[in-house]
Amino acid sequence: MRRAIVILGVVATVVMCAPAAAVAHHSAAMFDSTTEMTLQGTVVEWQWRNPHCTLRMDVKGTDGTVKTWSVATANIADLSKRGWSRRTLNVGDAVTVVIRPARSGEPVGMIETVTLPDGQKIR
Amino acid sequence: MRTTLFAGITVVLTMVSVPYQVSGQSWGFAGLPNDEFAKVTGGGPAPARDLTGAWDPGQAGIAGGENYFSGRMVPPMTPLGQKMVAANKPGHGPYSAKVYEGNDPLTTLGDPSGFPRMVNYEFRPTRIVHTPKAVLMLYSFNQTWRIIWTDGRKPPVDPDPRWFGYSTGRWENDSTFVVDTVGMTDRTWIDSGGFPHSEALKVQERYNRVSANVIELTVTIDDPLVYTKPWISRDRMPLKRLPDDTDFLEQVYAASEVQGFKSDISDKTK
Repeated sequence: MRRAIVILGVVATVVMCAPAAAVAHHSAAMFDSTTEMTLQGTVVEWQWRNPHCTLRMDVKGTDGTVKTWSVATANIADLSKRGWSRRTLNVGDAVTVVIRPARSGEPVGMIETVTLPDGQKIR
Repeated sequence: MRTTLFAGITVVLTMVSVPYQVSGQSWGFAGLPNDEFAKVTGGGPAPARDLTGAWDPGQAGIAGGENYFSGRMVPPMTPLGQKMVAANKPGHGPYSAKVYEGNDPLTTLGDPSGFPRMVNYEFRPTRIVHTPKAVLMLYSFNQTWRIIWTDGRKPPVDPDPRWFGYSTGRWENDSTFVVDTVGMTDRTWIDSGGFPHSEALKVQERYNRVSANVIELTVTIDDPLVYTKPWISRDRMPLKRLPDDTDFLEQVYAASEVQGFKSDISDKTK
């Protein structure tokens, strides 16, 4: 029930899809490997750190309440190889982020893609 | 004559150059992308008894995926080994646990990888330096180094265990450098799969420089207290040559950062 509220409360699109490729250092089993969720919100903090760079973002629900999500991606070295940097995301940026949410229903997950303010989609 | 001279210079340049050009004197190189890694081959004959240079173990070195474990032949564990592995909750491999259960000392506490885990997991660009009495291995992951003594000394007897053990090296022939390591603390894992070891562990690394641009590394794990037979964790894994002046990205798993990930993300997945 709690999870259902979370999913309805955020501007989210939930789709069924095939399991993603393994993400960095941890087994995909830690998150819901069959579900994707789309978050739209603003960047609160972009933590350029290991073992997983982490984006904290505020997401406003349909009832107007704001929840802060923490969503992780790969480590600094692997992201650098893919063209990311500590300047890729900036506080206040409006972004759309596709994630795999944790099964727990807590506002945490692993990033699949990020759509930047200029429309560029990165993974 | 002029054409011949030009051709000769071209041949020489081809032999000493490396295929992938990191921009000259750039900073913070993260490692070759897979397609560029695949292009690095040959480069001419290997110099004798020389591993000098900057080397990239590529995606296989990182070993974050399950490909590291697939097809590997690990012999049965002894009763002690079975007891030890039951206590380990890794993020990868056949003993994978849920992330909130994880107790990987590197990724949940910020302990050192130690040896041999440092060549079995997160093995990233590394610089090798020869000195008259030792070979130095300078690893970009966790900004860590090892000294491989080549001055003829014998391994220590009953040493105090260390995170990185005690290493001695010798040239078996002009292309193969053999490193033997003993005295490793049992607080470290063999790899990211939670495979354990005791302080009786002996590891042999064989660095076979097959050409100017390629070293093949084989690592053998021998711990009779934990495994019923020796086994190979790296089987001729290629290290590919980077320009000598490549500056490496600092890829550190600081204790505060790995513990921050645990509290911010991992613990909330339960």
